Amino acid sequence: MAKGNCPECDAKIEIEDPVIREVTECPECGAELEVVEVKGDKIKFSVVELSGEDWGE
Amino acid sequence: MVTIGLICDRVRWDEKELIKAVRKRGAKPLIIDQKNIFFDITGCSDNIPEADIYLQRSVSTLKGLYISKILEEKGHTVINSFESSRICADKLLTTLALAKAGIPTPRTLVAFDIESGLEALEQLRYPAVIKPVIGSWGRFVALLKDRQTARSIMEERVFMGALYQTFYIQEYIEKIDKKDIRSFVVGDRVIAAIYRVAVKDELRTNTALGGRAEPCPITPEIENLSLRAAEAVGGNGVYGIDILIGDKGMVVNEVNHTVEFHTTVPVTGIDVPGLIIDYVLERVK
Ligand SMILES: Nc1ncnc2c1ncn2[C@@H]1O[C@H](COP(=O)(O)OP(=O)(O)OP(=O)(O)O)[C@@H](O)[C@H]1O
Ligand SMILES: [Mg+2]
Ligand SMILES: [Zn+2]
Repeated sequence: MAKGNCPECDAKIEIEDPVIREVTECPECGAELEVVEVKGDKIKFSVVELSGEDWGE
Repeated sequence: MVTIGLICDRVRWDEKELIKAVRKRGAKPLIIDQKNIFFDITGCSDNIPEADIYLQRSVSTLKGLYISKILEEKGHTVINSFESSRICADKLLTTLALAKAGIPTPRTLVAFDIESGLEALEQLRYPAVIKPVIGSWGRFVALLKDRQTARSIMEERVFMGALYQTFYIQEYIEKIDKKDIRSFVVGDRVIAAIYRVAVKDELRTNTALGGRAEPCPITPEIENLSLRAAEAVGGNGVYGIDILIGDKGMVVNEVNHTVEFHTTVPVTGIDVPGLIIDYVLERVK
């Protein structure tokens, strides 16, 4: 398990096999986060931008 | 070992499951992060990470389309093909393709001006539905209840930019049981289907908007319609077919080319990502 903290509320978040650009929701504050860096078992998250007008299936 | 290139801008649950499915089959997943790459489109230098086949998973439709085209021009195979994705990405092109193939689809009129849009609506009658030609997750899909609302919604869209100034106006299909169907076509098979049920007082059934999913049996009618719809937009790929059920029966609403399945897997128990990867590996042979 790799770990990181929510940039919005600092909650601890764990992810199995994190992948860069992986998206996840902060279980504490609900912020939509993206994995931007993985070093060993440390993850750095950033808040994802709002969806673009051409996003989807 | 076979390498499958997954072109992504977001790695959601869906992409993680695809990655797992690739590994499980003894192949190598190669995640190509759209943000970290540039392409030489005039020269022959090719800095595209090497894979035997590429699966397009971009959430950003236009970027995904361009990358698929570039890869194909450089001789690579992309699922789905650029030509078919281009049709699916655009509701106007999809409707033209469905109508040409004789597949039942809601009656649709297109206008490029508010006054002619209002004239089109007189023919269709109210209520009708207006949608952006490019877009998803039910964004800006709106019910036009009368002439006044139609005018003000179109006026707003004129200010929203070029993408919204093509008025794609459609007959409103009153849903029996408030349900839609989403089926999944992989290659020449329909592998799964779900019902999507809208929340109360909502036209749209999108799960992104609170809609609920239920398992749906793949009847011969659903199978036949889905396969024909996939074929109409180019076939040979992975498609999500949206079917509306009105009082005249089933009509194909649209065809999606980078399908999400995070709702379908838990509801149906069907291994959608596994079946997608099986198909991708088959295409390498
Ligand atoms: N002509 C119609 N009559 C009635 N309901 C409609 C009609 N067209 C669309 N809807 C409803 O609105 C929802 C969104 O429409 P549509 O699928 O065309 O747009 P979308 O933004 O591409 O959504 P999706 O991501 O589901 O493909 C559909 O799930 C459907 O329930
Ligand atoms: Mg769609
Ligand atoms: Zn948080």
